[in-house]
Amino acid sequence: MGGKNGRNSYKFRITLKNKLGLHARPASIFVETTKKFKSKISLIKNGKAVDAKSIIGVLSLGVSQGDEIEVICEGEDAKETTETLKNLIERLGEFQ
Amino acid sequence: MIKLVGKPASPGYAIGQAFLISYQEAESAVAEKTDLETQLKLFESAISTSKRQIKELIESGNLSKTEIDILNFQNEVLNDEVFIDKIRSYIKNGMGVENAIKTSFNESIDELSEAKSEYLKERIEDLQDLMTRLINNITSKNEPLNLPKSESIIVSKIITPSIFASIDKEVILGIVTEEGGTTSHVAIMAKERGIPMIVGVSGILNKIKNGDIIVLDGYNGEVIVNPAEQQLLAYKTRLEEVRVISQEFEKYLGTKAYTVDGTYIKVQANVGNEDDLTSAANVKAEGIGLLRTEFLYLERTNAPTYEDLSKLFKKASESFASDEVIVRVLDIGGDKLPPYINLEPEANPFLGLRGIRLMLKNRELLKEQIKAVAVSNIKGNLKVMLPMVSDYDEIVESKKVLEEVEEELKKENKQFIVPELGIMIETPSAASMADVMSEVSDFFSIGTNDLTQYILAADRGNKNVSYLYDDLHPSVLRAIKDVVNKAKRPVGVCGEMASEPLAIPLLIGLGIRKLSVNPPRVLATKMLISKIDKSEASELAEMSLDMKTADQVKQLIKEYYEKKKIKFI
Repeated sequence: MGGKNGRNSYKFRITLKNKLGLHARPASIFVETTKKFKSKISLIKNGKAVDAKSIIGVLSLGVSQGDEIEVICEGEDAKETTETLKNLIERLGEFQ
Repeated sequence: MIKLVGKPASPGYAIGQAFLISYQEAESAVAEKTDLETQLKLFESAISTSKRQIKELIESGNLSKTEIDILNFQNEVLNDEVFIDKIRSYIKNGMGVENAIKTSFNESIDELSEAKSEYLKERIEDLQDLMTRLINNITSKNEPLNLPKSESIIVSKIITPSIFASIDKEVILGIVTEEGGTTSHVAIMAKERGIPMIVGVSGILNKIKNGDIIVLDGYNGEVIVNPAEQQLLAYKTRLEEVRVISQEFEKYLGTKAYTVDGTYIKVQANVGNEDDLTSAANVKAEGIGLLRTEFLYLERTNAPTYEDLSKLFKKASESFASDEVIVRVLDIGGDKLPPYINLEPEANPFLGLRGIRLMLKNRELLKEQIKAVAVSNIKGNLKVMLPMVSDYDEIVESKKVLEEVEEELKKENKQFIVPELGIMIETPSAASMADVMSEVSDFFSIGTNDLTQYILAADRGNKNVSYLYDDLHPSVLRAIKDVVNKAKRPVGVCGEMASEPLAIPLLIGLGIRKLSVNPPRVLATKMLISKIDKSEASELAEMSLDMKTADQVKQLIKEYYEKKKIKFI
């Protein structure tokens, strides 16, 4: 999938199934993980977008159990980033 | 002498000298005097100083888990490059370094205050704490906060988690603040450490100066400043009384509690984890009136096996070999679920699929628990208790599960003893139908916390209506009387009411002969029982049933205690 400026862009939508959503420890783990990648990562809920590498940003989005979010990754490691994050979100229940 | 009133945030008494901690308000002096480049440098320096301070606090080894979690969160925010860059850009736009910090933090705080989640709202306090730390590191140029070195009563506008973490706990006799809430992080930490605390005392900094003698009554929320000699003596006497009363507890270790006129009241313990079990054994509780099993299920990714459960149940059975150990079936619902139990989101989790209702829909889990109790029942003293029962059929269905367990264990040739099966009475329907429930239950335990909430239709956690929650309300007393009258089985009380000094005479007067309390309250409860006359208690109960409000009931019992000169903690 090509994106603007010829950069790599990958995205996915997912519904949060774990009890805490993206609060508390799951939020910390999510942000810790996003920071490991080079790509620019956006987290979107109900049309509002935040930088997924910002704990304040992620918390302010208030993602709870049952919410649907979109994650867009742009950069050289975008594909790997989306795969890792999708996997992580699916497993978030384990970190509660 | 001045008497000030605030909200009690952590119980206890303290007498000592005041030590004022000044909560430095940032002045904008820095912004006006320096250029942008210096301001940016000050900011970067404040960030690294803050990170270092937090690291030192965490590594000091003196902090509780709660305190460490708060500081870790603050550290994460300091490492949030997006957030920190926003502050840098505000500085570059000429806002002034303190304003830039305040504005950015307040913007995020405003967003979080719109959140529905309690977790997010709690983080607001942590952000305010961090904002203060950053600003202090800019304006005070690394001057350490003025902290007490000898035993003192701390007086301040507010105590933030950071300040609390930095003070040597040995020197804190008590805390009084002008602002702050009773459920703030610091209140929780003060309670954990047994430090009395009062919050919300307006104008306190204008009324107290360093060295003033302070009497702090963390039970009633009163702060007495520079009491007259006689009064100080009275308070010191009270403080001593409290100390002596706690020492008197030892006399009751391993004894049975009888009222003045010879009625035996059994005092058992409520336990929620292994530490509690050990504490209960140490205070020689007469059995476990409530063994909560939630801790075995929550915070894991898969259900505990029947071996996991058996290990705990066997331990409990052996520790209290000559008494009953009542194991409550898993009591959870929509508000707090482990990941392996699925539930559709509910509008009203407290009126939803929880307790026995949830277990009957997850029959395998229920069966596993009952099986674990049966095989652990080596001494024959384990019993099973169903939570949140509201209908006869729930008990009938559960007894079917018990029968299936019996069949299976026989086939597997395992050693077991079928446990007795009883129920919690915590719904109004169960309370009014104790006679019918008696046909299919071996015993009852009244869960007064939830029963009170359901009867008064008020959520004790909702600050707008928590004033309605009171287990001394005549409606609750009437329900308890109803249970005692109709039950054809032994009735115990395992809710908080069982350990409340004002409630104990009423429970005895209403006919309750078994109380189950938290381990630290076992001896205090026995001591109080030994000072109460059962026939007087019955009179008090009769009068209370006809009263109009909980306050009237409280007044009656307080007057009784005063008249009989009964002291308690």
